[in-house]
Amino acid sequence: MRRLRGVALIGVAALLLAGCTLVAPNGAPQYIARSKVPFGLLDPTIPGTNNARLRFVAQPVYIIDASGHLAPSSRVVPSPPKLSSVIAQLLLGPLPIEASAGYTSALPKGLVLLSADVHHEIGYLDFATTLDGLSRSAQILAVGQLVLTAFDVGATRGVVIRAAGVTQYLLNPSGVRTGLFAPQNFESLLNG
Amino acid sequence: MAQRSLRLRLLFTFGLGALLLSALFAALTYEGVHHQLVDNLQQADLHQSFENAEIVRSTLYTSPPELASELNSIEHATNSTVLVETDNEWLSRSAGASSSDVPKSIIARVAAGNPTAQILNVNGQIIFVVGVPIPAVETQFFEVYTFNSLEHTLRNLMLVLGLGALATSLIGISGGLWVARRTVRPLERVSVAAAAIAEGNLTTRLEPAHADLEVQQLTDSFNEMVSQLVDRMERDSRFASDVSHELRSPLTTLATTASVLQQHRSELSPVAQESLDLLTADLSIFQSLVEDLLEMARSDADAVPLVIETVPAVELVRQSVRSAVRRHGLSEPPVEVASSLEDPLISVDRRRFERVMTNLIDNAHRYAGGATAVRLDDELGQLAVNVDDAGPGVPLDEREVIFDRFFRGRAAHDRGGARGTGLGLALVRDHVQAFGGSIRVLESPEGGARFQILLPFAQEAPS
Amino acid sequence: MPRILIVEDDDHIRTALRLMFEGEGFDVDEAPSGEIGVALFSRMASDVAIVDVMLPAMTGFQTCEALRATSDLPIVIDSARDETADVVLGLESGADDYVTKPFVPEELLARVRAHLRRRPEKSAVAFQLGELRVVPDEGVVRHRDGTELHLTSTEFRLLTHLAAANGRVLSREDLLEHVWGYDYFGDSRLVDVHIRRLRMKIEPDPANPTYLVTVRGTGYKLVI
Repeated sequence: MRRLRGVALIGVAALLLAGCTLVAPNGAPQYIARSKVPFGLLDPTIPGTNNARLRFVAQPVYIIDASGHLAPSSRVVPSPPKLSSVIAQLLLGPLPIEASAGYTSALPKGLVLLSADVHHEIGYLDFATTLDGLSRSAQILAVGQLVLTAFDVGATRGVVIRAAGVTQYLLNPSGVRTGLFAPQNFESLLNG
Repeated sequence: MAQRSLRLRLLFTFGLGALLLSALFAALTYEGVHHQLVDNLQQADLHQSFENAEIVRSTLYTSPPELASELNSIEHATNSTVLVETDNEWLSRSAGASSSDVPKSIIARVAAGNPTAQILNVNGQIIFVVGVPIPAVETQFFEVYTFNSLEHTLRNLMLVLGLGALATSLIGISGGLWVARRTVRPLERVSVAAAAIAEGNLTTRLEPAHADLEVQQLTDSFNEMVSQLVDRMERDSRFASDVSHELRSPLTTLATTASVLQQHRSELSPVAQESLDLLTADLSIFQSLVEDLLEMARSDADAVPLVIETVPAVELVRQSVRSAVRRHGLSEPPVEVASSLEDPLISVDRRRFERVMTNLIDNAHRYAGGATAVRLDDELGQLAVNVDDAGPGVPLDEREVIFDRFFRGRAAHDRGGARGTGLGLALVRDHVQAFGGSIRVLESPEGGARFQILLPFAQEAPS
Repeated sequence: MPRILIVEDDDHIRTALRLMFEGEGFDVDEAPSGEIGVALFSRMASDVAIVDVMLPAMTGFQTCEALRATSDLPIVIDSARDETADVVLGLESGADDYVTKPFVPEELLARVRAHLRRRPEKSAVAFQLGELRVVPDEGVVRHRDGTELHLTSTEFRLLTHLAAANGRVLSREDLLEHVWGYDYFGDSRLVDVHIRRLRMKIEPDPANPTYLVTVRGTGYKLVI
């Protein structure tokens, strides 16, 4: 009788302890059955479209950090990245979260991009309005943003900025007015 | 096997039983709920992730720039962190996400096109990582959930179940207490009643009026048994006294007529005279035989209650000795009282004490040529009444058995003429023990036997 | 020729007793029941009576009481039982002595003779006991208001014997010897019961006796 009681006690204790874990981690990743995935997420193309299959890539755009230097920030753009879509992203300025962290953009809000092309590794950006109205430092930063951003999208030799087709001659960091802005001149504006 | 208390056993069984059962129940419940909860949450999270993946896909298709804010709002909405990756490069992530949250093994699997999920323990925190490939936009979507609230729930559940098990055990124990009491108390009552009856309180009965059937049966049987016992005892004692009365009458006639014959002895022939003498002698033996037997029967049946009086010992002893010797016409042994005794009192039945003294003196006369002295002394805090003789004494091997019924020692057999019943000393012991005393046989100073009665000293009693 | 009344319902025992006492020179009146015994006594005025306790109809105790009511003759009760309760009851009914069956016939004879032999101690001087005056010469105890107290001869003898001792303590053996005339039989219950009966009659508060005082370990004494 005593032994039976002892065994029963141990059995219960074991049971109790077994169930006592809260949540147990899995030893290995668990596969989810493909049939269980809804919305046709696993379809090779986007449902409801004409076999659209897209690729995306994260491209850096340069905005201004809290210390006033140029800093890169990723933006998702379709792949392969086009200058126009990247610049368009740049013109949208910092993300709300970035803005709350002190990031800004020297480029005026409402600046509209008319066209953007790359020829012979030079980017040609045509805006609707000019950048003359900006202060000297802002102007330099704004240009820097455009130059460095374009650099990663094929404009490796620099950019030409036009306003409604008219080439703009703006200041570069060394104080010289020029029409072609080379990226290496603006590297000094980067942080660190 | 050592004796266990039934009460404890019942209590233990109930308590342990309740504990085991409630623990078992609690464990099973917990197991079941736990399993269910974890499963449910996983499913919910998975579904959520699928929905979020769809949002990501449509966002990428329609308006890629909004991906970042979309991820942030997902994070806020579902209280998880989300990451999107493509070609081993993190496209975007929600504000609280870190790319180290997702283990490489999962990334690899998802990149290979397999939706994957895993519960991980990272730095003591349990997280649930879900990875869904979105081939249409060539990205992999990852979402990381915490199980905090689930754990909280489970912990609460464990606590509640634990308390419940404890409470049940306590209820079980109190149930056990109640049952134990209900079961054991009647037993205790029976044992108390039985003890009272053994002590002689024959009017003891168990009270009926109990709810439980079996206990009632026990009570009834017990009372019935006691009544029968008492009846039997009364019958026995009545038998003893009835028989005694029956025997006494013819004996009286015999003794008296023998006496009458002795009166007219001179008118008888020598033959008749001799016959008469034999008759008279055996008649007196017969008479004492009957007395002894009846006395024995009466004391066995407790027919005659003792009348215990507290009396001065010396006076009683002297009186008893005197009446003993004068009844049989023997020479009176001196009564010596030790100087250390100061007016000792004893609590005895006078008549029986006299009988005891008579028997002892008679014995001494029959087998040892008469008692030489009766000495009173203080022995081991008790009063010792010693009847000493100068006879052959009692051999060591007979000193215990000599008080047994019908035992007739060597001395008795040696003296062919003297006849005794063998009951005399047995009666003496019975009576002495009834007074709360004891008797033993030792050697007397004269070299014969010393029959020593030990009686406790009595306290002062009102006269 | 002393006259003895034998009240005994067992024919054999009664006959045997008759034979014995006749052989010893007694005139014997036999009665098989208490009623006949009382009737016989009133006619014959026996000198001593032996009454059996176990009688049909009128019990031995009742017979004793009836006899004692009209005379103070010595009465010996005989009983088949030796229980103290019976003995006390018998003595309280008025008997002077008791024997148990089967008795030693010679002993019974001697006791009866002893009872017949006794006479009150006439030589003693009259004395005062509270409101009572004891006059041994006349064998009476008189109350101050003139009423006479009824004592049996045994009780009277006991009282006067104690008085004659002049305040000395007398042992039970002494009393048995002198009051009852017993050398070698009788036990102290006789004395105790008679003392108690005497106290009931003469003591103002029998429970706390002032005249008949017990001296523990020794006996009794009379305090005048």
